[in-house]
Amino acid sequence: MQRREFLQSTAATVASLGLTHLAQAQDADIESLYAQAKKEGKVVMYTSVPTFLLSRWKNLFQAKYSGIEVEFFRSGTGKVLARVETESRAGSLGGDLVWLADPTTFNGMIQQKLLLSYEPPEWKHITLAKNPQGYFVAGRVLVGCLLTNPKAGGASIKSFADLARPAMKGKICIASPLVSGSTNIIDGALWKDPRFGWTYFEKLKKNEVLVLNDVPDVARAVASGERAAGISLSLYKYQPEFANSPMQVVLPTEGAVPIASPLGIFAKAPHPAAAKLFYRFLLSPVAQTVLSEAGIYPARTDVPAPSGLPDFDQLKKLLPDFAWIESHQRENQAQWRELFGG
Amino acid sequence: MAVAAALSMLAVLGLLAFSLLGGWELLRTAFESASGTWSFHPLYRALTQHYMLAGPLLNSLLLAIPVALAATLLGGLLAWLAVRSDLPGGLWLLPLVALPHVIPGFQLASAWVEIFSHGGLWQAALGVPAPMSAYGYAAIVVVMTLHLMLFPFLLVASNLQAADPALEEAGRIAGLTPAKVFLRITIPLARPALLGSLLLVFAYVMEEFGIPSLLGTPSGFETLTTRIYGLATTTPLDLSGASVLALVLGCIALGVLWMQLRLWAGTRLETLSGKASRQGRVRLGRWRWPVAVLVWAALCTVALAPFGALVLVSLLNSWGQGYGPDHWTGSRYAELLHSEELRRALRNTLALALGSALAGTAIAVVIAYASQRFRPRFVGRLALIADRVSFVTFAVPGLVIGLALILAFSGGWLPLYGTPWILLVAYTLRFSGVGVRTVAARLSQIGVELEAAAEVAGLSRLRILARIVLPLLAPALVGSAVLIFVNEVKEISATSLLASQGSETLAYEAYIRFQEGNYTQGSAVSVVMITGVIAVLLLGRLVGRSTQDLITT
Repeated sequence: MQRREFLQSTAATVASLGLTHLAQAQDADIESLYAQAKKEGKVVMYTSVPTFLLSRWKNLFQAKYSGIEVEFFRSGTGKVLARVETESRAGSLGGDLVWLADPTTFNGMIQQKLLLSYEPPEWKHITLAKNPQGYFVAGRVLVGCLLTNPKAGGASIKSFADLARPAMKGKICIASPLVSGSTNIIDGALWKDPRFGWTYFEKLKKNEVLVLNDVPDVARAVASGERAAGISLSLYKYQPEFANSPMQVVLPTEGAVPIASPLGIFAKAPHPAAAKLFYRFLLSPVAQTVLSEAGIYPARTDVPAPSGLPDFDQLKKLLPDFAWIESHQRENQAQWRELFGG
Repeated sequence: MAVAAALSMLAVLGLLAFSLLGGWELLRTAFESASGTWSFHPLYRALTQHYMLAGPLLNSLLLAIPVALAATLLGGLLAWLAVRSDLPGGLWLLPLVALPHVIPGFQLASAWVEIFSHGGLWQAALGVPAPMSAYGYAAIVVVMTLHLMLFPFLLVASNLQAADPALEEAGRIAGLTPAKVFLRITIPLARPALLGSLLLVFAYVMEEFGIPSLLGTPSGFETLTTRIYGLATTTPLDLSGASVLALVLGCIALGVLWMQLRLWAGTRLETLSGKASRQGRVRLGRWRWPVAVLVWAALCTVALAPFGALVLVSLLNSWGQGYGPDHWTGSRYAELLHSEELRRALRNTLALALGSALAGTAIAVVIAYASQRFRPRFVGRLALIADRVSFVTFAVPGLVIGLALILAFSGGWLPLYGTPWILLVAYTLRFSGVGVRTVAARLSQIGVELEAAAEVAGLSRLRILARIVLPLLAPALVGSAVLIFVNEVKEISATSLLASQGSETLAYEAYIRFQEGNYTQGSAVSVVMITGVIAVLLLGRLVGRSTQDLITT
């Protein structure tokens, strides 16, 4: 199994790189990175990316670059951030790479000069969340959308606005932006959009919306029929326990909210070459295909979209304004507390 | 013995040093600005912004006080039934009382939601809507009470065995009714344990995160601990705000402890002296069977229902297709069997749990003994400080302990951070206070006559400790080890910050899966973990003489 994946991955890499001079130069670059990385022996990534993806990448990477141990500190985005902040206060940041849910989480690290500027050739194939100074780039794209359960009365839900219809009273749920980072981005896109704003959330409140902690809680509530519809991420439908549930992904007519989730390298990475090698591997077609199989949009434009979802170009989008969300964070949180308590 | 004593004393000094170091790092985080100057702005903000301190603090107290009372009442009553009455099957109450405590808070809350939510198990099984809401204040109080009955149960059980039954006998001879004997003699006798339980449950509720977070978010109910988590883990991070609140929480814990000890001071608690004491069990008479049916039915329901819900989720093939056997699969367990990660997590959990249960209990003995027997001297003073400190580190959220440990132990003279040892330190810091209260409650009942006699007979202090004090403390030692063991096994709030590759525990693996929306797999991990703990408890019950001692007399 692993061998087959390896062969496929090698074939895919060769095919995508082609045999141009540029590709040969890249190969040479990768080869020298690999030689140095082998001496370093290890790479450590701090991340909130799900464990099953991490172990697939680890296997693929080690099949291709033997002799380099891959380690993860895997926790929620908030815990990872708290660890980075605390470690850097203590002056001993232990990770090489960091990959979190959304770009607003990276600004603090950039201000503290914790990140390395690095723009390898893989950047050419990525259009989203490219930090102008090269501190981060999108590694994957999550999609904020509606989840509905036709068996529980959610068949007619096609848009965000539908959730506010009186008929949906007591049948809807959302996650709390005070707990869930991705919800903060989705809600942020809605707060800023004049079609929605806070009046939309007031309507949801009138509809007795159930406020859960995090986005997977919404998936569970909708899939189990506790609620008929909710706002969450598309990827849950692809997880084994939800795949055969009545839950459906509905891309709202107003547009789905893409959340580019950024990947970066720490400036003081203890294993600098291994960090670069792993970074480039994660942005390679092989690693990006793993994402698409798991129902997540790859960051690379030359890797196909997950089955059942339109090509990223075709996806109708409601783009979040990350800078606005970040600068209005405290205001928004206060407004939320006023409306929903907490 | 001498080596063990020396190591235990070293551990106590370590506990003190580590706590003070961690506390200092928190103070710095709270008050030191980026430029290195001290700033009271975060404190000012906490004091003036209702949502920061006043609101969450009020909610925490509204939760902690009723839960402490209810859990102590119920747990204490069950302990009395198990230890002092002729309730049929009383010996087997422990595993049932322990079960809701072994289930990690976030999963107990999640099981509760599974049962009581709209269209949940209650409705699926009985066809009518559940009688109470799955979310909100009442749900949190009930779930927390169930979760915490184990503390009073173990403390009171170990205390009641230390009580001299001659006192109750005297009451009966003097013509008191059984009810009056219970109220006027038994309850006052159990007072050290009842006070100790109130303290422990209060502190536990103050620092618990999983239950209020899961059940409180829908009604916007924030406690001090959920607020601390919010500040420390959502962008933009506010670690100084979180540290200020953690320090406030620590001060509250100190204040509550001080109040309780004031109330307690001056009363004579010794009920166990050198005299022969053979306890008879109180006959429940015609109430025996009705009480038995009531207790067993109620306990089975509240202990087995959430565990059953968890097992059911671990077997579910898919959500929303019904809960019947047609929709079950064993594939999550099959995956567990094949996962090297989970085998490693099992080994880590066992090693860390045994290590911290041993270390914590040894520390507890030294602190309790030194603070009660060396009172006015330097060692006694130091032990009293350690006693207070261990209670504060128990009352402070695990996340905060984790942050403080990263600050104190990454690099520098003792780079524990990044190794599994940091987890052992974290667990010992978090849970030694449980051991201290458990052991202190029992030690305060043991009169000094026996030790004085042994001293007259020329035995050294160490010998006295080994031959007289420790055997008399046995039920409390077991109680302490069990409580620390169970709490370590299910610890996640410090672990999810401190774990490094290779040092993950089972509870952490379960938590991560829940967080990824992999509920069925996460539940399977928990079921394995919980079954393991209950098996250890049952095994101890079957083979351990001291456990025998805990439950029987």
